[in-house]
Amino acid sequence: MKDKQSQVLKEKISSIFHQSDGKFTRHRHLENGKYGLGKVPQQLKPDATTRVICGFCSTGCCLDIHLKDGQAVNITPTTEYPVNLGMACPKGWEALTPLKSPDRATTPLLRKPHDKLEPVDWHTALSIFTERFKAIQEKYGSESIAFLSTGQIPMEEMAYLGALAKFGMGILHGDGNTRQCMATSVVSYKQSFGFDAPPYTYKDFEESDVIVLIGSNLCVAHPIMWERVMMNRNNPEIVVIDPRATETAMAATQHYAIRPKSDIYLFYGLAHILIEGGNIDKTYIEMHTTAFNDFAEHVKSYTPEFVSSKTGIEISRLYHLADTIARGKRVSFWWTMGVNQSYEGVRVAQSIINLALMTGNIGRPGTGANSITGQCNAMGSRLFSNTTNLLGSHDFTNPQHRQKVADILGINVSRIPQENSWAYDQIVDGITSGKIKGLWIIATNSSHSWINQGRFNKIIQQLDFLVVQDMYHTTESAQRADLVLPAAAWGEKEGTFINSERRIGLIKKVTQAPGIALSDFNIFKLIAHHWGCAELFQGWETPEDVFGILKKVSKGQPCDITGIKDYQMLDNMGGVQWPFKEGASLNSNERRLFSDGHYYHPDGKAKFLFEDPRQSLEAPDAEYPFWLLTGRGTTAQWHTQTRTCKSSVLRKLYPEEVYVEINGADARKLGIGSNELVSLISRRGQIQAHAYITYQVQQGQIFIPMHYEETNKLTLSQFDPYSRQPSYKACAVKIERSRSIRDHIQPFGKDEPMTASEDIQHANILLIIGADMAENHPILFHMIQRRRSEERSTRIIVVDPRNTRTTQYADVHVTLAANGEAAFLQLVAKRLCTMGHIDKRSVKRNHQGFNTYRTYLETLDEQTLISTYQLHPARIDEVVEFLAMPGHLFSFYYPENGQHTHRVGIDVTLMNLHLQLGQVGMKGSGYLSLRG
Amino acid sequence: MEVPKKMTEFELQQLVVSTLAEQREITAIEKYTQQHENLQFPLQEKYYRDLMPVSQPKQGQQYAFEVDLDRCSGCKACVTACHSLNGLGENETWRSVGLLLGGTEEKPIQQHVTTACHHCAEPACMHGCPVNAYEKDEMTGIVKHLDDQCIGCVYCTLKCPYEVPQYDKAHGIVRKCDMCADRLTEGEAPACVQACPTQALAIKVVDKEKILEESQATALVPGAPPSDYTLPTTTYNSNQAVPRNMLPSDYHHLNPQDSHPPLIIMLVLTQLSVGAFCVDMLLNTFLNNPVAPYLNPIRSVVALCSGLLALGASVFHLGRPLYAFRVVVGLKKSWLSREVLVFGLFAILAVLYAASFWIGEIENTHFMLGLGVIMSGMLGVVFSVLVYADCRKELWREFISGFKFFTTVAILGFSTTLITSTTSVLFINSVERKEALLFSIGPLCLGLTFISALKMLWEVSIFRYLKDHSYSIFKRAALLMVGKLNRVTLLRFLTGGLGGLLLPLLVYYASHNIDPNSSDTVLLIGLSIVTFSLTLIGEFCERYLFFTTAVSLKMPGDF
Repeated sequence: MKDKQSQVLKEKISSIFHQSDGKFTRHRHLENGKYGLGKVPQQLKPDATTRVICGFCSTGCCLDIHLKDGQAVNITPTTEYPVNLGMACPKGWEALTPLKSPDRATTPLLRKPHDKLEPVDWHTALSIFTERFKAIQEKYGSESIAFLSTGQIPMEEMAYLGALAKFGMGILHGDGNTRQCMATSVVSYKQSFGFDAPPYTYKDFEESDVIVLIGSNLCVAHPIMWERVMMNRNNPEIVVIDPRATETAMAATQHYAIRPKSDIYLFYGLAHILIEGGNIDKTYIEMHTTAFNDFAEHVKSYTPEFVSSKTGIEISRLYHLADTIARGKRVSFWWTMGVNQSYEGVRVAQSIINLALMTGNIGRPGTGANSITGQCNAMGSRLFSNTTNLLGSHDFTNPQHRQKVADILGINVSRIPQENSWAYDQIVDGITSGKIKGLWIIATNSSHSWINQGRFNKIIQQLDFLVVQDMYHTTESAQRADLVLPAAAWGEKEGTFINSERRIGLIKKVTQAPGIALSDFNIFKLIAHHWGCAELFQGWETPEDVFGILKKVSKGQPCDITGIKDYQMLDNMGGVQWPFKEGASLNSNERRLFSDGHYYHPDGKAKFLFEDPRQSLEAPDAEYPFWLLTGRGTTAQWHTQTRTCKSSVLRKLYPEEVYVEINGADARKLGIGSNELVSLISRRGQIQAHAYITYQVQQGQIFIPMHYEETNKLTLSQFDPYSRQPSYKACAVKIERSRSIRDHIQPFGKDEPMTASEDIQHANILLIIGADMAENHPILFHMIQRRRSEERSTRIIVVDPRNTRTTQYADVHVTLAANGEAAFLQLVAKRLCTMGHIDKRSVKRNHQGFNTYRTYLETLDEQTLISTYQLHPARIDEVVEFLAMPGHLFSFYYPENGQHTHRVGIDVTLMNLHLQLGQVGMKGSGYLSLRG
Repeated sequence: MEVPKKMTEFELQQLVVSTLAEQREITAIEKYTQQHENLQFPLQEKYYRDLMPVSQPKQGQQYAFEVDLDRCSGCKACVTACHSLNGLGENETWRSVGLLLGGTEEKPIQQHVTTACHHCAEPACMHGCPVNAYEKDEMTGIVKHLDDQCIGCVYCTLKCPYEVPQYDKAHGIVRKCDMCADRLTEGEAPACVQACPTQALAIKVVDKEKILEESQATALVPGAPPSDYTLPTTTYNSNQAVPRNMLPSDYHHLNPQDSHPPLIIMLVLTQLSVGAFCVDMLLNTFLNNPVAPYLNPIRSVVALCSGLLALGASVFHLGRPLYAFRVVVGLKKSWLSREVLVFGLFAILAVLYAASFWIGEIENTHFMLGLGVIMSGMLGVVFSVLVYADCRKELWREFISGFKFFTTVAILGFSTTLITSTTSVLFINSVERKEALLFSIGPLCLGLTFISALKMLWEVSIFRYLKDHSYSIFKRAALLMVGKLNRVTLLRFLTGGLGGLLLPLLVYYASHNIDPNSSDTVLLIGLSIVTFSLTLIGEFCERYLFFTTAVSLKMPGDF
């Protein structure tokens, strides 16, 4: 007994000096988590798990959500799911983190006149939503409201939105961000096959012996599809066609670095070689296609010499590629945004489809002309968003289709528009022409992602009412809204997604939405009631009810899903691909289309489509000598980063600031060093980015990831004529070393050029008058923000009657009536004079008339000015207090939109203020008049 | 069909209330069938079975990570899987993925490199740890960190050339990858191995002999630190030839390293203290200073206080200062333990020494104690040098650290004694003694000037690397000094120049030319205070640059 006690004592004493167990050790202890998970962290051990489809990309991976005490605490990828086989990319692993961000919109926010967004309750928000939109419709017609939706919400919500907007609210024009990623594929398939039908299943990646990836950086954009490529046991030829030597190109067996936008020449040229060599499947062409002879005639002129001159690929390599395709027994063609986001994307996609058709590489395992989609539910939007197509991929202009849908929904057929909607770019143009006055943006971030962003953000200022419905109130778009509706996110609601291989999968409610955020479904439901059209939506109570309705709508269509019983069935089966007709049996859960060679055109045949190549509206020239390519940067970034930037782990996995890939030889020529900040200038905008010097991009080309807000300031509004998809991947830019930024700033009142960038770096107070710098002078504003982040005591004061993006960042926003700026500045100057803040040296040297000016200031009638210009005495005090403190003052003045009728008055007053305070001629002090 | 009438205002508000209530219900669990409820067996096993070793390591073998570079596409799922499956802190990651770039216009190459702890055969972290918080498992070879033993001294983060141990501020300890040892014991794959979509990661059994063989004159991947320092066990395999110009994508990213403010304070002040004692002793011994007995009590207390302040700072920098006593267990192998203990001894002796002046004269005690103080202090500084030299950073080599630390000892020793000497003038009445005292100031000033000049000359010499073609570690340090750290650099040379060169000469001049009874002595005191302050600031700056410019080779990072 004694021994034991002394033993324990001994151990205790020795553990004081050497402790191998304790709270920290236990904290990282792993335990068997059951549910087939293996070991999990003890403190996160689940008491239930459930499967949810990931809400980022279109791969449609399934994730096991670990729940503990009813809270979602962790994620592991689902082993037994036919898509991802127990794997996920970083975004999937981190899917729960963005839900917990403090940036979440937790309550509706309404912009009060001359003020910031303020919380309101749902009833108020929706009453205002209804009132404002109805008022606009009354004034300008019901078509004057439009909506921009998304590929990120479940299809039940898309359907509700589409039906509510078009059948309930009388909206004609609505489109989605899916226009930016796959409209081209939709149109190509529709024209070629008779229906928008990506034919493949992921198993095809494993079963090919030749895999041709076109404009697709699978390793980065769809890492889990790349997993399937790596599972291919046929030692396949992996061919990558991409101007950049991407991660995927690195892993490929053949890489063809074609010139940007020369893809169409390449594929016509390959068809030419294959036809010449007799390497085509004549039987297949004969039995299952039309218009081949015309196509063969068309490609006659695309000789290897001609194609080589266009693409930059040597003739022998063209033959080698054609030969690879000809010798392959199971050749699959895959394309993504490199093809879709082009001003002639539809014809390029079809030139790929043509290759598959003519070589008979379709309908068999390991083959196909396969478009890989972008967003988690882009495929759902293609069928059920009621935007471009009537619900269920029906046609608005077809009376039978309208009647069919009206009957199923139990609504009057007159509710269904008879015309097609405008596409995204046409809606934007509609705002310019004054036809669209109200806009409702749902779960997308147009202010960041739309092509030629600067133009878009200017245009939406013309709207009478902008509603943004999003999970974050901080997105670039939400910051510009008049009304923000807080949405529950993925994981906080139910519904279904369709992935790239047509698999319908389930998302579930595994955690609570923050504050009083509501699912988009619930928001639409409430709007239906507030709008007064709820009678159309009887039976649309739950997402699963709507799923039932969509099933009925799909009946008889190629996308028939009437065989899916309910959500539970989807959950049990591991998702189900369309089509799955009622009564059919599911022999395999990895199915492809067209194994019978039967297409959806009335004649049952696929069609060869082709056209002469077009010219890009802009190509590199002497002034702007570089092609700008855009695309995905890393697996850890998603689109505009609204979600991925909320995870500190994901943020660690990608460069924080925008960077530009520049070819080593170009960098040498321009004298640019690695990681140097350079300016990139297009005809539309200018940005700064860190130089990433590499040979992955060719000479004369640069690459910037699309995830950074800056990127789309450069891109050019150019669209495919058939799909209206924006051409993000081709515009002309020039590169300058960053010093040149000063040339773009015009100093005021001084002969020598001002070095504003240097001054900003030393200023303590930045006074911005009448300029929305965040919008119109982003580089300068970036410097201002950087200065403040480096030196936290720096203050930004904005004097502007408007609410702009810049005012969002202001420490003090001085609101006033139009043209009140001079009065405000004079009152500030007066107050400072009274307090004795006069720099005698400066005044003596620079300001001969100062005493007169001072007398003038003293005679000012403060009360009258305050009431005339709606000035707030508290703001004046605040600004005076800041200016009275020691430090450097730097001011910006820019009369925007011609709003200032007495510009000179403001200029002079501002100059006087600086002279009075001696805030001139020192590093960090000065003033700038900005030009547009 | 019955058309529902439009809702009233009240009904609409009620509808909002009920919708909000409905939104709060979490339905996923009750609504859907729970799968695999009691399945203990990991389903994922079928995918990672082939990535695990068939048998356990035998004698002379250990587990190791194996990376097939040709299969790695840089998706970084390994990083997030490790994070989630080990329940790491919000910002904590134990694995990272870097990028190598190179090749030619015709054949560009980029290669992602996934890296975590290499479970080295000779772990530097373990050898440096003052509290034995690292263990290398005898059977598996896994380098395991004992979180509860850790005192948060972060020495291992300086020792490991692969940036593996990560300091967790919230808990005040370091944590690191343990190859998911708990998983391995039950045949489960580590999180990263389980989660790699392309099966680029595996666990292998490796021979330690072979590791030694393969670590000679090589590095794991281009740009990585030389392997012969710690003998990392990870194998990177590839069938591709690595082009000559392959470089980490962050090779040109130049950022100041962590400055470790408490360590700066600790180093500078211990050196000040040791220097003050030494200079005192020198003055007493060689100059046979007649005023010494009057000055020693004050001087020793001043020196002692700064020494104690330094030790306080060093304890303060620990994540878990309460457990500082554990450093005794690392005595056998850790220079840090030795440094701390010797300075502990120094502090005790210094207290006794200082106290002895106040108690009264005992035969030879002053001298013996003084000698003990000086010897322990000097030994302490030697150990400080070795603490940093042992990190194998080029900029912390024995000679460099040694030169910097011992010149600090001299400079601050002189300038502290200068201040105590001049101040003492006020307290001495005898004119003779005053004169003697002033006379003794001369050598102090000259010594200070000489050492300062020597030190700064040597420090300036680093700028010659700016012209170097090679982007060497020294060039990077020099670039940092003229770039992101230019203000500190400027301050360092300004304070060093004024306080170390100009003012001491002025004091020297003044001390020989003033009337000891006039009020000019106050001026002298003022000058020496300024001298002291400037040299102290100068040495703080020097030490700040010592830490912040200590760039070293590392595993490739991301752009």
